[in-house]
Amino acid sequence: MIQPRKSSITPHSHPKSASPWRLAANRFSRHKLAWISLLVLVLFAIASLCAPLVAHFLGTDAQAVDLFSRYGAPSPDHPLGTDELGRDVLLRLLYGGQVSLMVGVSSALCAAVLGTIIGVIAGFRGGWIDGFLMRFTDGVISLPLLPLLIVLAAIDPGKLGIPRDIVNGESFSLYRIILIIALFGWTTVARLVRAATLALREREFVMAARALGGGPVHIIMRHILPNVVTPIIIATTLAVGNVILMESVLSFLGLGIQPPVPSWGNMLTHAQEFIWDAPLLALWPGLLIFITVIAVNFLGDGLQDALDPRADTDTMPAAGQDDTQTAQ
Amino acid sequence: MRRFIFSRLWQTALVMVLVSFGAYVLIGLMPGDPIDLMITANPSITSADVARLKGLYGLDQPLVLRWLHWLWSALNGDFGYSRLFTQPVTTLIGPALVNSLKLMLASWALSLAIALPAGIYAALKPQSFRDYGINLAAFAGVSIPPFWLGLVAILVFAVTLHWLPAGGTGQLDNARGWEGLRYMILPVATLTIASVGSHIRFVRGSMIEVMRQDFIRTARAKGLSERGVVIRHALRNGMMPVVTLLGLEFGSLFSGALITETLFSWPGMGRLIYNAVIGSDYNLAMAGLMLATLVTLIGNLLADIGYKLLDPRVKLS
Repeated sequence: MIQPRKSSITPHSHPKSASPWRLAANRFSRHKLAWISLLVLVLFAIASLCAPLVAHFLGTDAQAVDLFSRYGAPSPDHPLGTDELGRDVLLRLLYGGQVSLMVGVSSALCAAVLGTIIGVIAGFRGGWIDGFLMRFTDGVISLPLLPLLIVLAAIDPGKLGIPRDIVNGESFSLYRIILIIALFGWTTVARLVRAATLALREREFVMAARALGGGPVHIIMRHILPNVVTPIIIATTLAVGNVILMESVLSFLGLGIQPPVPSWGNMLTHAQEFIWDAPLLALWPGLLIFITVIAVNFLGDGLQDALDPRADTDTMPAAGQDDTQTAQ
Repeated sequence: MRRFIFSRLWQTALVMVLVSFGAYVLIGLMPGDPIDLMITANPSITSADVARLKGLYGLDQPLVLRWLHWLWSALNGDFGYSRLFTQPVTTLIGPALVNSLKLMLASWALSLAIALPAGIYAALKPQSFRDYGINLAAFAGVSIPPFWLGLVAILVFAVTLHWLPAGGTGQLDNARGWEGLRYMILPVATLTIASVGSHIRFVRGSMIEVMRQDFIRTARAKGLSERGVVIRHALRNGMMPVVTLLGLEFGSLFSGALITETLFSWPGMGRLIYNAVIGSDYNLAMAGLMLATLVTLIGNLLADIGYKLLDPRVKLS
């Protein structure tokens, strides 16, 4: 960042109100793209939550198969037409949005929790525990992500002793995909948290807390975690985009969200077959994935700039290293 | 240095063994157990037959013993037979590897040829209009779902315009020379677009970091032209992290092409692994997964060594 940033204290804003959060909000507001992205994401979320309302309004539901009107053109009854089984495309997109956004956010959160726990333990404990955990993290990072995800997604949970009626339940594939992606997604957060914890551990206020008799749990909860929350938020936001991509890839390959539950990825599973009959069908879900992921990335970028101005986006992107690991 | 390489080789071998155990357990949990298939295919099979068959195939033995047996055979170059293709796994992997390499090396070179100039160009004037534009394009590249990109490419260039084939390698049609290359254009383009975004961001970040350093200011102060500063001082240092990237990318060589190969029916490693997993071909899936892991680990190792060779400041531990 060569150009100096404008001071947020303008004659209009009272100097006293320039709290750190105020400053962060000011910096964030300068990122028009981040704001537009946030708006788009909120709109998408609201729209997909309104799916039942839209279904009621259209007088149909997302599962209603009508083989007489396959590949239907857009009409008042079906604003975006119908798919290869005559289901309403708009409704399926909206319900698919629920799934994709839900998977993206929850998997990223799970990964963040997992990464935070591992990172804090490694950084706070140090010694051989740190060495072991970090070697383990390096090992996970160096694994070929997509083939492993595919194997994990393909295993038969029945063989693990999970009862059949749970396995065959509609939402099982949802929880499973959240878990699988989180299992490989925690490494970025773990490394960030460990590095921050290592630095914080030696700071005076932590030593003071220790001298006052604070136990490790107290110190971690009260002094360490509040100070590492910023990088966690940024990394998690950026992770949401990656997770949505991963989910869509797995679902597209038939290993993620299982039909009849729609997701943006599995709506494209048979796209290659119907691309000759109904090319528009192949366009919508992918476009929505693209817009959502790019919006999440812009949002993460803006957040990084706003919350962590020192480690601004012009330095080596923390997520950049992981970008190379995502599905190609 | 030698000690470092030696210890890293040990580490790599250890990770390989651990991963092979993990993969063995996971793949055993996939549906389509050979005995299960026999039971469903033949209703008159008795439990005594099942027990006898399990004994015959060694499936009555504990998991660890079976894994050790697999490991021993694999170390002797025997990966078993592929159930899906009814051929030894080793004969399947060779040609698939060559096909994957063709695809990946082409897109790799193309992606770097775009990312290096674009990233450097953007980094020389951060926050400028051109930086903004290049960054935007890079963000788009990172965010685009690769399979959808491939679908749209097929839609536009194969379905609508009829310019390029929608998939395959053209080997069946005996397409040679330019005809054969035409089959590569769409997969390579898809792979390139999917990876160029993160490459640009990486190069740009690395260059911006270097351009801030004191020695750049010194070089400017001694009266070097901006061109000289960039070429003689910034590039040499800014490209070091890119070497790491190359090593890491080397790892995703096979796994990364999985989607593209599946989409374009390109008979490479990625598609082979995918087919093996979908078709519950245990031996093939296991071998493919191990090969992908090995290549990834070697890529990481080469990245570390390369980085060390280029930058003596890096401490090796």
